[in-house]
Amino acid sequence: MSSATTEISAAPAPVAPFVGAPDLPPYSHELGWPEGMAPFKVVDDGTQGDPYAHYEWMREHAPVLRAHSPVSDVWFISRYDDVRKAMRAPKVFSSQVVDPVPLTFLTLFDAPNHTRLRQVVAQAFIPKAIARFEERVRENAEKYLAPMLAAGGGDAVDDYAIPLSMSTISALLDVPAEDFEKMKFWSDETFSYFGRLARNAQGTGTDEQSTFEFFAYLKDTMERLHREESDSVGGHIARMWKDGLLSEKEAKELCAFVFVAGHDTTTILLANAFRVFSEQPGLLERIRRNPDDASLFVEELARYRGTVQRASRITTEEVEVAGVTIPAGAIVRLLPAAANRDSNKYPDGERFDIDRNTDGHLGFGHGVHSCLGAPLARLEVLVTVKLLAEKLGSLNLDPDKPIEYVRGNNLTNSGPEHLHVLVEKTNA
Amino acid sequence: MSNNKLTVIDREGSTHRLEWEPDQTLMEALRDNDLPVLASCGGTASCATCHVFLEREAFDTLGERSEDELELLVEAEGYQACGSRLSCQLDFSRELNGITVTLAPED
Repeated sequence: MSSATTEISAAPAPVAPFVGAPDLPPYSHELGWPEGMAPFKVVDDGTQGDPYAHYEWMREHAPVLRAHSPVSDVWFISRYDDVRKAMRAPKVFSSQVVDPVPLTFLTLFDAPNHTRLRQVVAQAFIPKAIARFEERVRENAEKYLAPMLAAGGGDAVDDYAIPLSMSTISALLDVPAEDFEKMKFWSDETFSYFGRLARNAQGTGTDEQSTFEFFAYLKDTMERLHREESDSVGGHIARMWKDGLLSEKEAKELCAFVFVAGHDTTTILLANAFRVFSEQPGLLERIRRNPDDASLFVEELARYRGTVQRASRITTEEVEVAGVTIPAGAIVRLLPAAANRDSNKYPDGERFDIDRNTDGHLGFGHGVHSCLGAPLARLEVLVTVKLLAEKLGSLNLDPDKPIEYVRGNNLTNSGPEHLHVLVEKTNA
Repeated sequence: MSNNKLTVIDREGSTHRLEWEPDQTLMEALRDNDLPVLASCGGTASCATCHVFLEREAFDTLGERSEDELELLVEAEGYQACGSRLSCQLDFSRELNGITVTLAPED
């Protein structure tokens, strides 16, 4: 890559957007990106489904990258030490990028509201509580894998990852999701609505209407859960609402947040597990012989192909990062997936190696906004990794059906939207 | 190894007595006994939502706080130079049997 790379110093001189701007770095589109690599953009136009080549270049040449958008400049931070430091400093890198906060999504709040709202659902996601779902996750995983095994393959996303992640979060919330297609549509539309309100994304044109339909469905569900005195997370949120500790708006939106965050991110991580197995076929046998190694796989997967690509922040004061001064009030996107491949932290970081030390990876975030559902995601992926190793003799990507990627409409997650695989059973 | 006994004073001033199991950090003992300890980061010393105050005697039996831990504590509500700890950084130890822990105010 280096032979095709032009150093930043050779890029066209930046045009300051206003007189007296203090040494602003050039915009992304003004940099000399390697041939064939589109400049990194605020909104994914289809070039960022698998953004790791961009990240590698950014860490090396533009660790604080300023990108232009019609609304405001956006600053992307890609090196491990810088991302980690920002995630540890929520008073400087605030999550409350939109004020007033338009939706009760935990990612949009700072303390004290973040603390208050997270406390409502936190106990349901601690490892002790999640462990109660292990048997159900395992049964469901076997149920969804069986038809793929019989057919010799399928779409790891539609046939396995979505049903597994959605049935799991549905059970936790006690929100029925018998119609996966409809729930997936509502969930995607809600994520799109969130992206439009909170991240200046384009939206789908129908997302507001669909989101309100989803909220209405959740309200009816919570009314029922309250009547039935359900001990699920949904029942708990319903009680907080009926006891006056949450408003109806907060209760519906928090329930939606748990549902959307609980399945979308995990779906992608599960699909990525299939992908990595296809790239390193020897791991199926290794984990079949040593199932305890599955947990090493899970942590390395979260480092190497974690789901969350962009964590949004706004600076509350001027701050220097990697020698670049970011002004107060700047919109920042921290790139944990880029940071996770920083070879200064993880030697040979672009290589998947379950024997490496993954301590400190940012695959489930870091700091006060660390992933609430991390124990649940870890459980679902662990069960899947063990199951694939136990049942599959081989797993390959279908050469006739290339991976299709999630478009960055919500500007948060990237990964496969469809990942077709061919599988063979073990000989045993 | 038997459990430690622990006395906890919550943010309303109420006292709780609980068992601290050998495979738990102090944060896990508090959280798993339903005390309002958010522990947002899950125990990686990257937030301060499991901040507690220890009595001086117990505090002095422990080693130095790591740079990561101290960085967060000094910014936390009610920081005490000789009492504040992140409970996720405290492993089980017989020396801590019978201690009293006070939950720090939330930010």
